[in-house]
Amino acid sequence: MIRFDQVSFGYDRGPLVLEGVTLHVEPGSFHFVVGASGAGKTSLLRLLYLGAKPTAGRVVLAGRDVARLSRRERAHLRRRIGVVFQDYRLFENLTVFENVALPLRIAGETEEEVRDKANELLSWVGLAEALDSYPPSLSGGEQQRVAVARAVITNPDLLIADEPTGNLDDRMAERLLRLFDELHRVGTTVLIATHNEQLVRRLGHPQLRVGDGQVVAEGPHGPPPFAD
Amino acid sequence: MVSAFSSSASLPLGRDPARGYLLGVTGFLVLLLTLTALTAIYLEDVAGGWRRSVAAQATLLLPPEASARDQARTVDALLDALRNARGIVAADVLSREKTAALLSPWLGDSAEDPSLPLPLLVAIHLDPEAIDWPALRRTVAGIAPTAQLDDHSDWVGRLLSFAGWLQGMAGAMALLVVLCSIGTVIFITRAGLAVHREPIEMLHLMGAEDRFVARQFEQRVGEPLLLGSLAGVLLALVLLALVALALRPSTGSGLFGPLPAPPLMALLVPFLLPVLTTAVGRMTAYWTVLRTLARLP
Repeated sequence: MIRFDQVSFGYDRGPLVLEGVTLHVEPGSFHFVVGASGAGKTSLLRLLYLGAKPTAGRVVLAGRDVARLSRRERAHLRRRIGVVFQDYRLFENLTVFENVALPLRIAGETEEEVRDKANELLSWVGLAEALDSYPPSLSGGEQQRVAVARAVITNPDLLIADEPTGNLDDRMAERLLRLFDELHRVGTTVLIATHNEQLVRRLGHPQLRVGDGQVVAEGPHGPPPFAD
Repeated sequence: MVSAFSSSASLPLGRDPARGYLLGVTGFLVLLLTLTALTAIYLEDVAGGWRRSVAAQATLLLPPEASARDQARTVDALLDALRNARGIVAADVLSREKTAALLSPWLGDSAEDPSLPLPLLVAIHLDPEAIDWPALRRTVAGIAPTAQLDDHSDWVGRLLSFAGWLQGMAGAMALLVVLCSIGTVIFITRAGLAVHREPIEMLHLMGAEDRFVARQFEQRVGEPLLLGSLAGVLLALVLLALVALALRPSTGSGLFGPLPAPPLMALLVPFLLPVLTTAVGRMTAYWTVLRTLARLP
């Protein structure tokens, strides 16, 4: 699913955040992205969701060298990637329903499909009563759930989440992780950036540890928690 | 949090101060465009009418002679020759009253003084395709060497040249207004792209193609463009109606008679301009977005 060949990345003329990273992530795998603050986790994720171009090296996603893609091909590849941003990045002038429905509308789904899928997913994340609310009127946790629903509504091949459980209570965090696990089971490649060492240990998935400009793959801590 | 949409899959340009600006500027520019377009069309029509009317007319001026009998004999001979000449449809002597009325703007009431010697005027109606001007001039000179045959070409030529110059100015102004309108839409679209940089980036990250974003801008400029241009056209029509009303008493008399009714093309302008302005503006916004986004990494 993901391959980095000697990838370096830095902002403008600043020092390189990632330097000569070589990485391979199998399709359908589940990884935590861990590392200290400022280590380069967000930079790694940006490269993965095509939010930035590498300073050097080659990024291959779904078998495609992203540097060789046309703008149209990049757009279509991005539709296969769901992203949960740490700051949610919801459209505050759109209702909850419209925020969640937007990726489907961009993909050209029919209004009927959009309505069905968005309603179902919003019910699942416990926001069925908030369809017509606007994000500024929601709590941080509710906004985070909207962001998650928006990221997964297209059943993406690659799901990238940056601290997705940060503002959730234990019960909702558990439900969310189950959702990620279900997506993983049906073949979605999942990458979750987190500081939550307890979560990482509990779920036991392999990690990509970011630090000193490098990304190192580490083995799982234990069996998947939702194996049954 | 991304500040973005006001309705489903639409950027919030309706809430921008630029919307009011676009509406106002469009209204003003379309007002100018309507005035210049209608002026150009009307001038073209009026000039065409003059050209056609004058081409079928000529005037023969016979200076007053000392003997009325001699003058009558000369006039009879001239009328006889004219009526038998090729291409002449009719030739009639203008009555003294009509001649005096024509000269009254210059002579005032004294034009009606019977003791004032007035030239005799012969109004000639002709077929411009059949007339042989050199032969006619020779005939007239043979009968009355002092008579002046005026085909009006010199005077009308100057008038048409002036009308053409006015039309050229109107055309140049219309072009300038169109360019200004396009420039305004480009400016506002680029400003909108800068203001909405964050939501646009987010749309791209969700897989939106540039065309998707361009369509949002295209739709958003459409409404103020249409409303602004309708207001501009309406205001222009009101102004033109007031001008026509103000000019009516003075144009009812004089050399050309009352102003002709507006041509069909002029009647179409109020309908066509808002549609064309909106279409061109929308296309401009669409292509501006595509061109601007294509330059982004």
